Amino acid sequence: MPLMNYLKEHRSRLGINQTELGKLAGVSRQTISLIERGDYSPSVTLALKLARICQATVEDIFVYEEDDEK
Amino acid sequence: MKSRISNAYVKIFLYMLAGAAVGAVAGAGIYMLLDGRGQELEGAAVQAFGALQGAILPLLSALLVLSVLAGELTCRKLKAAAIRLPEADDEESDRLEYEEEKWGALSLNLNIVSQVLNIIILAAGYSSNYLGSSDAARSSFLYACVVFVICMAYDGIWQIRYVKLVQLGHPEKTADPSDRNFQKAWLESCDEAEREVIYRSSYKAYLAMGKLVPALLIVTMLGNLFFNTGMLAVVIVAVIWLAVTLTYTRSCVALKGEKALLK
Repeated sequence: MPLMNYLKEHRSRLGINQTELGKLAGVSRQTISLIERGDYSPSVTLALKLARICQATVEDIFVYEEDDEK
Repeated sequence: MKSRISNAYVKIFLYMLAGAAVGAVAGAGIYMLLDGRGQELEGAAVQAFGALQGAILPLLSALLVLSVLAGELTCRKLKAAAIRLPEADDEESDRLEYEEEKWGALSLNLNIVSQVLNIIILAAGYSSNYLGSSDAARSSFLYACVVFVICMAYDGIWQIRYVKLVQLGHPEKTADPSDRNFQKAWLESCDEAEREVIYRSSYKAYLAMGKLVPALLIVTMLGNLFFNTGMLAVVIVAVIWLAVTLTYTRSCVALKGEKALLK
């Protein structure tokens, strides 16, 4: 999975749980959980929303890493 | 690139050849079987169908009991997860939502199996030949119809209860299950990850239909050839195939329209 993320760390810094972050971003808790586990790559819109909530840039939260095997 | 294309043609040709060989062997086998033991097999089929017609009422009653038991058990499991969800922490929520999905899928499948079996069993007696055969057959079929209606009503109510239970754990999903546009409203209440699950699952269902429907078409054609099951089954399956393909391709074209993907 080339898209890594530090959403959990940013959420912990804000002191909110997945449900609260989901409510702020307008998505379900499950979606936040999927993103944090790296099981789902969010859309550009959601990534921007999350970055705004976490008061960070998208690149601070999401990191694209080239897959060496390909 | 050119060799790839010619390989694809050769591959398709070989598949068709293999299909023809399998068809020829199966056809010859069935012909030989029917030629030797055709009457015996026909007799057994008529006997089995007669036994099914005689057992419509007990079978539907048993199905009703099983449907209620399965429905209540799965509802209890779903309710246990749904009640705990709003208060659960993040890790517990992951586990509960998985449980909810698992039990929801199982119970929805059981619900559909119950409805399909209900229809198949009742259809065994849904013929003027059978109903005209005796008073006992008519009265038994009437009672069977009552049991059928109760079972179908229970299955329908169960689906509404299922949606309400999911809404108990996810209050943001407000679609009304009795609304004619429920599916559309439900999709609109889903976020992007939930929609991705729905879209991928739908595509998987489309691919499965693409394999199942042609196979069913062959079965219905062979049925008509060897057992005189009639053209209606062939036509119905062919129409389903057409409808599935046309719906898919029409949607693909519509989604290429201006801003269609943003809606």
